[in-house]
Amino acid sequence: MSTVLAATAPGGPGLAVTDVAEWMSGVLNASVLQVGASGRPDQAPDPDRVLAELDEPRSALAVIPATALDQLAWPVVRRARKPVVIVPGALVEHGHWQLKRALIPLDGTAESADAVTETVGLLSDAGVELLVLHVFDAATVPRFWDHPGHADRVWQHEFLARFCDRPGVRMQWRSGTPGEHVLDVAAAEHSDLIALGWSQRLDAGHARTVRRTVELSPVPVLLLPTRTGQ
Amino acid sequence: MPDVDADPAWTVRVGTPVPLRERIAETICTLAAGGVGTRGSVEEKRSGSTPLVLADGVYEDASGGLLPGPSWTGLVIDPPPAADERLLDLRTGVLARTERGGDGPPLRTLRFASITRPGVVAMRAEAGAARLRAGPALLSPAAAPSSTGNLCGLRWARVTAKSGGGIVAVAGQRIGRDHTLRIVERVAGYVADPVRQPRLGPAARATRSAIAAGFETLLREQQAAWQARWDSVGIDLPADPDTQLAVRYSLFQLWSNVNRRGEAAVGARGLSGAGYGGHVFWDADVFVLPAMVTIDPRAALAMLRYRLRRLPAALARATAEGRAGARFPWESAATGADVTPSSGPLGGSTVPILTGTQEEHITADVAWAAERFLSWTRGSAARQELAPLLVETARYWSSRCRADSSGRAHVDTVIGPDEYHEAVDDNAYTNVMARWNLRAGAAAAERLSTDRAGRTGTDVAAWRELADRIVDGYDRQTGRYEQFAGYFGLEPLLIADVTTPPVAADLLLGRDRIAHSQVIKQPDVLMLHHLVPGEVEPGSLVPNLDFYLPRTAHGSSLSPAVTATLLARAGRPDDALAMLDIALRLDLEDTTGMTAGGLHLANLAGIWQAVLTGFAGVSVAGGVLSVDPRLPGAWPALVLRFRCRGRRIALSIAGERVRLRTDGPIRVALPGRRPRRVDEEVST
Repeated sequence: MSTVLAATAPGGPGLAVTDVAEWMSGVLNASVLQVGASGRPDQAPDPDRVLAELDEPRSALAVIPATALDQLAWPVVRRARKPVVIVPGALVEHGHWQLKRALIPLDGTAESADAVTETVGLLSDAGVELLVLHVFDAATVPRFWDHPGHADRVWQHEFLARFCDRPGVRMQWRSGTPGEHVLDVAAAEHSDLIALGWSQRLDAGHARTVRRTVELSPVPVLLLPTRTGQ
Repeated sequence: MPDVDADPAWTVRVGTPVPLRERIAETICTLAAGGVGTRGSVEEKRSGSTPLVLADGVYEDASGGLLPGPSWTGLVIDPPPAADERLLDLRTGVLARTERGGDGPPLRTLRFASITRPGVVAMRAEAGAARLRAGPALLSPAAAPSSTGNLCGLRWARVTAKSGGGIVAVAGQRIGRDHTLRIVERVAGYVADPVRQPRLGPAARATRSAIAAGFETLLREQQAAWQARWDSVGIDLPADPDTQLAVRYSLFQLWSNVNRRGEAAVGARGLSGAGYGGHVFWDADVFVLPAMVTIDPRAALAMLRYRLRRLPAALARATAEGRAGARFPWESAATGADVTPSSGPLGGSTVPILTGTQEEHITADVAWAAERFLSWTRGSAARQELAPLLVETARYWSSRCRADSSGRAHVDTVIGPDEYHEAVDDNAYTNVMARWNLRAGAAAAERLSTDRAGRTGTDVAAWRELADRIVDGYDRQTGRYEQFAGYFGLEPLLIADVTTPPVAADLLLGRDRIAHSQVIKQPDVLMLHHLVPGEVEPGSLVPNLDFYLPRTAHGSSLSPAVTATLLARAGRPDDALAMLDIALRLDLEDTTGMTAGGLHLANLAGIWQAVLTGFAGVSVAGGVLSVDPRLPGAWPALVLRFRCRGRRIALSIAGERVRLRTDGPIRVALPGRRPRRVDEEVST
């Protein structure tokens, strides 16, 4: 059986991390393994230790707290070869987190779609309601949009067929910058999780959406490395 | 397997697409004839594939999309080809597929939709015997009520629409061996009826006749018939082979997708995909019809008969709205009632869609299509038959205009072709088209009363007088038409300030921002210069082009081709060619992201119009065919063949030299020459 790593930190959303890990283990049909500093669950996990555990063949995914982003979360997700869920500090230790709805922002590239394909399948199979979000900007906005009603239907149908071909998936689009819309849509749609494919690059000009989402999201963020990122 | 000539001047190649592009390949490789279209899907099941057969005018219900028909192309191929190439041969109207790589004899298929036997389709497939199984000759679509059965050795399948109409197909197949190859030959006959269940008999007879003729004979018929088409209509532009191929592709799909029997409900995507529900817009009247009248006048007449048979619905709508005459629907399907959705999603919110209630110019557009047909053809029978389209639409405008205290006439609360601005007053396009419609309707009514004494009782003098009073927003000082009352007072935003067109500017900037700016979706005022040059001020094309083009987002797929036409007419053929290039790539390179849903038929028609009426400058007025070429620098010579006033015309343009040949007498005006009768040939 595969494992979901739950990395807890003192002062962080320990229960929430465990909660999320438990839910994700249900989705993945896996068990939960607590990871703390030097094997002690009550101390801050060390990024290298989390990564070492995550590299183990049995590990499918890690759940880590968003507290101390620079010390733990960013070092882990930048190097992780497997999905990582970052649990926000705002998700207090209420122990009630449930995964019913997930928001999947897609940028319309094969890379980001590939990154989320397997997870989308697992979430869908687990009965999670999926909403795909695409945000147009000046570079990606369609050139032509003949008729609001018909064009929307044709465009969404084709976008989902190309990038998220699962039954029952809904879609919305917005215009602007992705970072400004992901959180709004997640809140409006009562999403419990935001799943983002990303290239694992945090240098200037990259990962603006991921940074903003991780820093401000009130719900867990699942980061899925793209192949190009690896 | 019969060979296909892979001449790059006549073939469109589609290699094994990545799964993301499979549906685009299927659209591009659509084969259609006789009112039945088959997408160019591969024969085996493939990820992302959406095989589909559609029939002209057969809708699921009164407001729904086109009914999917039984599929005839399915085969069992195990293992399926890892790589292949589809070759659409425009010259002979066949789609050939060849497996690339792999061990053993490659899979090869060849199929066509017969243009000599309407509704008949045929396919031959061959592959290693261990890999290829024929399977059932017809498969029912999953999404519609259907039934299947056997009939004297043939397979039949029927799909039923809620409206009572349906599609029936009867197919037969022969499975043979040639050493290690298995060969499957399949022939099917389709009959469709928009209103009632089609009978099996005609489909079975067509199939039996085709089977008796044999695949080779059917193929020879097809090749000869397509050759005859290309002999009468076509383009030779060897200096620009990419444009030449794309224009040939446009002609091929127009010929294929527009039914020439009975009536033709030409939806925005033709028979090439489910997009836009097969609904009929002004695309058909103002873009497709003027192309078809030069390609296949019989098909153009079938398009007008679609409108003519829905005249009662248009009359009823006008009456219901307290108007006279006929008001045609913005979006039309089976019955002629307006099927425009009243709302739709836009960026996460639901917005009202007002085109159904406000885009009234469609009524004048239908009349314009009738007049266009009549001016490019000959024959008093059609003039008599189509007169109601001109007269009843004019009657509508006579009741639609509002007179102000000074007696000037206005049309309030409309949407023009630029759909970014809604509920505007005195849209120049709508008003001038209404003016034109009143005058054309008056002339048609006079002819009717001449033909049938005392028939109309129409006050044609009042129509003409009203036409003279309609405001059109023209400013003599600037030479510009104001697109609608108050347009010049909007934020003077240029599209270059936003991004590089073409762009769906409403998606990028939002509806409110766009509505308060001068950015427009597509030519609006300029459509007048394109459609009714006699109704606009002489010399006003250039000042309006200079003003409106920098404000045009080209966010409609209709826009690039018509803009190319206008630029050519304005004497800017190189700019026109750059704009035409956008139109040429629209489907072949899926620059809309929506070609998977079907071909943009109006764009294909616009391409042909841009070449014929824009660059070559071919026009017809008063029974005279005029030629006034404006070729771009990259085109040293251009040869066009087309139909005009009952004649087959061949036009050669090389530099300043123009030569025109005809197969019968026609009045012609070449550049700098007075009109004269030409029996065979004339040149400058």
